[in-house]
Amino acid sequence: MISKLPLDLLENIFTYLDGFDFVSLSHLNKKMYQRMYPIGLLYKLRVVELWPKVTVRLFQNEFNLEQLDSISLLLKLMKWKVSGIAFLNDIQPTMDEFEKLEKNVGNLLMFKEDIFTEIHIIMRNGLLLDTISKNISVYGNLKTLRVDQGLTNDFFLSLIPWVPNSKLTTLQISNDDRNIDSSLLGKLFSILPTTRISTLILNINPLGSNWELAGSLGIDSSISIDEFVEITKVFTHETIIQIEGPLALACVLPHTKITELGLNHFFFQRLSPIFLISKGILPKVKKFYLQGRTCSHSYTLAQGEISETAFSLIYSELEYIFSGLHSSQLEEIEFIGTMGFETVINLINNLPVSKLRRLKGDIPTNRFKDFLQVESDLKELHLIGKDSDEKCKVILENIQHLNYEKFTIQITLNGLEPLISKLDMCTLKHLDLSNSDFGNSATPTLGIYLPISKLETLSLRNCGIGDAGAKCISNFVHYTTLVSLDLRENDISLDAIKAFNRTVDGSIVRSVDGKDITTEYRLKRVKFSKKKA
Amino acid sequence: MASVKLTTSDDKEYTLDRELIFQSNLIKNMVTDLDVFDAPIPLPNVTSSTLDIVIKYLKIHKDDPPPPDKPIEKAVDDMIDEDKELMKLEFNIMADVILAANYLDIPGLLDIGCRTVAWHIKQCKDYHEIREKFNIPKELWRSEEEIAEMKKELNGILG
Repeated sequence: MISKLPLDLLENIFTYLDGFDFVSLSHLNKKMYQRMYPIGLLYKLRVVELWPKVTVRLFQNEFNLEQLDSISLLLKLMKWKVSGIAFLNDIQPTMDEFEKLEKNVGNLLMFKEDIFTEIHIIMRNGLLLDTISKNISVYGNLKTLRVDQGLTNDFFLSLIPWVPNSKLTTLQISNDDRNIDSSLLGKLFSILPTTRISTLILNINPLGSNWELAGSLGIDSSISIDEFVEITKVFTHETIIQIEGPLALACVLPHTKITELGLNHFFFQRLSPIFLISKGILPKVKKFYLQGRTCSHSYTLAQGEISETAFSLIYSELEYIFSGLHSSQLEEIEFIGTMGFETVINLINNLPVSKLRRLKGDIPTNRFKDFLQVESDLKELHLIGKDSDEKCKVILENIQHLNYEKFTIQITLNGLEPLISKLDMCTLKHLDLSNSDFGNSATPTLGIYLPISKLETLSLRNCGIGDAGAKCISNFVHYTTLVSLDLRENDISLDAIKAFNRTVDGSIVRSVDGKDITTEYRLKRVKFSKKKA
Repeated sequence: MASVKLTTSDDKEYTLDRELIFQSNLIKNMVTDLDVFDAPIPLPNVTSSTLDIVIKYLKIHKDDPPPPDKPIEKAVDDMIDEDKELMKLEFNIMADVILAANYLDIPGLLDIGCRTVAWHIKQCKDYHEIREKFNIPKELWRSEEEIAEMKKELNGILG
């Protein structure tokens, strides 16, 4: 009888099937299942909104384009209780493939307006974004929208009137190589006070790629900070729309609900919103990023694309932030570029009285010892930049006094053993050694010392680990307290991953790409450790 | 009392009180909008045996207040005894009744039909029982090989 009923009536029936195990429907054949799965999907995803939010990234290499409407995807969605979806695509699909993908994605998105609360788009091709932006008003429950590639002026035109009436709380936008009309960005800024947005991440250069235009934005670098603050007070919501770029954002920020702000790739002018934060005018902002993880692939300040003068401006802005730490609400801060001497002094002086818990940046080697010896409530330190082995030595000298829970550093094989061997003496639970170039030779060292550490998370992403290293890790990982081990972006073959899987119970190969093996293992809790013995 | 004539797909003619049949929004709209009182209204999608069941439902609910615009959410088995008795039907007939309720636009009947099917599905322990209960032809089910393949896939996906 089920095959007799049209889809809309089946939907009626399935709305009453609370708690029904849809996996059993997977035993229907493909033709039948295709009739059933949209309803199942719709039903399940609606229910999911009542469950703890889990966002799953559906990497392209987890399914081929044809599989997007297949049972495996559905089961993944259902199993992982998906309420968000990310479209990631590092390989440009052909037009045919893209049309198919777009149709399937469109089907997924268009079932009902309330399914998704999070959408993340990393697609170079703007067609998908166009589809979404044209229909953006149907995503009534969308709370998070991230667009990392393919940003267009049309997208802004759709987004701007929609956001104030939406439930959107997180907006992340990035422009890659396209020049976005800066007046549109100004319009977006001007509506921010009327929205619910609390997280705004702008991986964006408001001037496109044209740095020469910087001076034409009407930002006079000769006026003082106090004068600047006074100027920003004069602007009203109505006049802000006439201003472009960073200044417009600076003016509206105090009137928004934003507590997390990322200004990555933002053009650093002396008079930027950063001053407002450092002056305590924005007591609500708790997390602030000057350079996000998402855009490290693109141009960076460290690559010399900005003049020495610009660098000195950055130092002075950081200096202001750090000097205002004691009166700010900042808990997390990320920045790039080596800090100037005065900047670090300011940081060190203000750390004891600040609310800062997480710091990511490059602290100059000659000030690093002073930095570590300052008493603070810092729980996470993520170091980037050079002289890491040197800094590692300083850390080891102070390891018993440090209260860090998370630590990131890139080290060499020589620096690894001294650090790993002393982990049992500190409070560290999460260690990120990603991008360290030590290869397979490091794994025996890890095997010796990890079982006596209390580490729960270890990231060995892009560390040059091959099959032999993976085999070595699989042999000792049982004896550690690790619950998560990240082995992505290493040179591990598919056979080695399978072998790893057989050795390590409870692991899941999250994603595998034929060329670039991308693997993350979720490990069970410790079976036993030397500590217990 | 004014009446309305209906002709089913098997050419059986029914004469029903307007008050009774106006529970069907389709008929009500046809009669009031098109002013067709005397000519029998053809129901090409509804057989006489199905219409008999529909009429039984209409009689049970003839004194009910008009249904709310927005349906009230109810538990799957939350229905009056007369409706439960009425829905004791073979699944093929039940599908016909659901289709007729949908076509005639009788929201109450459509609702209890869908809920009854949902209730029956919920009683099934596994897919074998669903297949048996709803008499789904074997060609509409995956083969044992496909199921084995899928289980393998599931183990890979679900861990």
